[in-house]
Amino acid sequence: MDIQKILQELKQNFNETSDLVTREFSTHSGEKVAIVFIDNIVDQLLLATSVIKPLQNLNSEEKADLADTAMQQIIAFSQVKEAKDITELTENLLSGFCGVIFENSQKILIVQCVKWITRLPSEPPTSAVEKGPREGFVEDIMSNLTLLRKRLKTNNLKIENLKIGKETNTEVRLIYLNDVAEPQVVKKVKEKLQAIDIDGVVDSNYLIDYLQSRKHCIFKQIGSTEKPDVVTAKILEGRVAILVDGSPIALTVPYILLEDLQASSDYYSNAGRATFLRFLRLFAALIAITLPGIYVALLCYHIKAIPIKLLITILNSVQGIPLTPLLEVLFIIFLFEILYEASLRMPRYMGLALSVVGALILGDTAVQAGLISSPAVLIVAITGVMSYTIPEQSNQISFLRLIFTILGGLLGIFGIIVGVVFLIGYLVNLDSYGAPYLAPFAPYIKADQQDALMHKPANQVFYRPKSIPNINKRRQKNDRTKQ
Amino acid sequence: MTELSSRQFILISLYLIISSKLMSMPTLIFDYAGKEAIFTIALNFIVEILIVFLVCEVIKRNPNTNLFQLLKQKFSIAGAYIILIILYAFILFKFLFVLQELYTFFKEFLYDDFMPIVFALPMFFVVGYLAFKGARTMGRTFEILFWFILIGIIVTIASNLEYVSFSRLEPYFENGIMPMLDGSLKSLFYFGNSIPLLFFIGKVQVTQKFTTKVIASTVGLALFITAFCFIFYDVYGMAVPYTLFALSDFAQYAPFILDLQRLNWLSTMVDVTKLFCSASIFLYCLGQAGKNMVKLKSSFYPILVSIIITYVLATLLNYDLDIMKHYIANYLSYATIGVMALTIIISLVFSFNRRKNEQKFIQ
Repeated sequence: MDIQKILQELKQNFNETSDLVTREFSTHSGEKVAIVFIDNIVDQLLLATSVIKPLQNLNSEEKADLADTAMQQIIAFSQVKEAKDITELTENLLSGFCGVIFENSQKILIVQCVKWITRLPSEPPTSAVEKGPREGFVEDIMSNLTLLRKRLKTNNLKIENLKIGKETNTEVRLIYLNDVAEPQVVKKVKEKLQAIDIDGVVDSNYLIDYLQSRKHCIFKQIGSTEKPDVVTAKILEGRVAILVDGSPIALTVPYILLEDLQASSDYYSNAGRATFLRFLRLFAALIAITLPGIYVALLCYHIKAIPIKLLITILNSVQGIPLTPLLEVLFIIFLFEILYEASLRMPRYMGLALSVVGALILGDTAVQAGLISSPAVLIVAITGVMSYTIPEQSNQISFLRLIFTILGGLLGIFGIIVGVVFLIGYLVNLDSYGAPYLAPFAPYIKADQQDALMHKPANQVFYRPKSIPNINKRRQKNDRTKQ
Repeated sequence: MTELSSRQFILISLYLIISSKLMSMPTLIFDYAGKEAIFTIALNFIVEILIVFLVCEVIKRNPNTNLFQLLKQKFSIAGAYIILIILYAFILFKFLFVLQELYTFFKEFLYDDFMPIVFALPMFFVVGYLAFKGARTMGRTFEILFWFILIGIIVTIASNLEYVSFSRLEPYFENGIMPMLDGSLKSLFYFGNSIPLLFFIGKVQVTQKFTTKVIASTVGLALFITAFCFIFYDVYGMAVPYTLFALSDFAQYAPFILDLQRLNWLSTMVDVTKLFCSASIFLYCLGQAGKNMVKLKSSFYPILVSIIITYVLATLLNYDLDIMKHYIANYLSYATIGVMALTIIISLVFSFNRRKNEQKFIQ
């Protein structure tokens, strides 16, 4: 094989990129060998000790093919294979493989000696837990697969490989339990992923737009989490997980709204406590959405409906405020959103200062200056805090809070009722891969109530949720049926 | 294809039945039947439950055929059109009445000044959306709202229970049974709410003991409403004619609620929400009737036309509930007798025919 010709062709394929490293050397017996790899994604020390040095020391006196000898006896790597052509070699070089070309052989070997820069699994900042596993996904897909494999030691776990992105060639993995996940769901997800024709996938969130059925819907239609224990639980229920290289966020489908009401810690604590917390989260979310709207509606249209003592307090506070209740609350909501956005983007050491300035100085000064009233600040602050009882839905809650405030300001309590009925009507229409969005409440599925708002202990949950399409309903043997 | 589970159908029938019965109905019946109003309500419920039973039997025996197909099979195309037009007109008045009730409710209880157009646009948008999206969407929406409505009603009634004396209305039948029958006749429009259930034929997933479950829940609701009216009449006594909407008035002036201050907002929300639900069912039925009459694939235009007609009628009536109540007592309740009779006849025809077919099949 003409080493120079192959190297030239490779350089052309890579557009003469500077990080394509080629190294030519001779074996002890004088046969020429070339090594080619992409700088920085290959473990060069390992390459030198396990590939280059053994080949340099090779004293081949036999007539056997050098590539065969190298593959079987010399190269000490677990993954060594033969590249069929230059195209395959090119693709593998991009994935951290190293190419070994022999002058006296027709074969090109590819050796996996990838070394990506990655961080160690740590607790995700978005899903801190009091009790339970603290591991979180990282940006390296292989590490993430390890975290899942560690938890799902079964031969039924199926992992399908896909590559998405013409320029990024991003590794994507479709993960599900072969004997549990509904084949139609798997097929549909796979088809949607394979149909993607984009130049690059930088994060798993890129795929969400392709996977969800309603394109302009503000509501989350695809599950996402950074925690391997959560993904494992979802896979066990029959869902399909999607991991994307470079992203610590795993996607799961089908998705139902209830998922975000449940926290992973619910399953690691007392069932009664978990039930209480779920009701609390739901209550907080409903209050967060509607309270500013109700406050504005009461002040604008139904002031007689406010109990007299509360009314006196509110009237004392709102006296002299130049803005209408609607504008006042909208102003505070916008201020709150701006502070939130700025504190996210600011360097961490400035974030604390900013929140102090925002919460204390701005709010207090604005109230003292008579621009806004303290009840309005209090309501927006309370609802702001409440919206984070379900952190995965905080964006949607914030948006709905704004809409309900406007409805309350324009139409009063009638607007709030119109909004609630429409919202429910809209949500019950959503469907994620055969799972009704508001299941198991609408449609009401009695069997799934054991782990809906109520949370039964694990030893009493015998079946997988009916809300999620799956082909194996049984989770564990029912003691009662055994008797 | 079935769109509703048995449970969702039961909820739809309950929303229809309860629709206006806790609002303007108790006062209107008291106006005509006096202290015997409670017996009038019980009597009229018997007719309503009978219709629910017959419709359930039709649904059970015709799982894959819709109302229009059945009408065409049994009454020819001309007959089917005539029946659909009658049902359309009847349900249109039902929808109009709910609209009037809702508007009056808002105007009386919630707003000092409430422009009809400000009420109508959002109301038609939401109700139209639910009706257009179909039975499945409505069924699921009602499942979510059901607990809220149930809890609201129970809390409201429970707040007045300690003031019931069970003797304020006695003795009964001082003037014979004529006031009761007169009240029954003049309030029959309120009890024709189960007629729209015909439009759900072929759309319900019938499960075991379907009819029993529907009837049991309907009877339960009928008893509940009757009990509510009894408590309402007993608490208010001869002041009933001065009330407007039973549940809201009941909540507003209960001493227990006055102590807590403004808990009656719960009943307000409940009243409005259940009227929204029943309005969307009526509009859905209007859309289905229109769709089949004009042979359209979508119910969008029939719903739009129904909304426009209702809006024009409501504007002509100046959104005046008293005028509407006058029409109900003097015209619409008599018309309801005809529509009820028609519903009973067609239900019997559909049920009987199917049974005959089934027997043939077995032989």
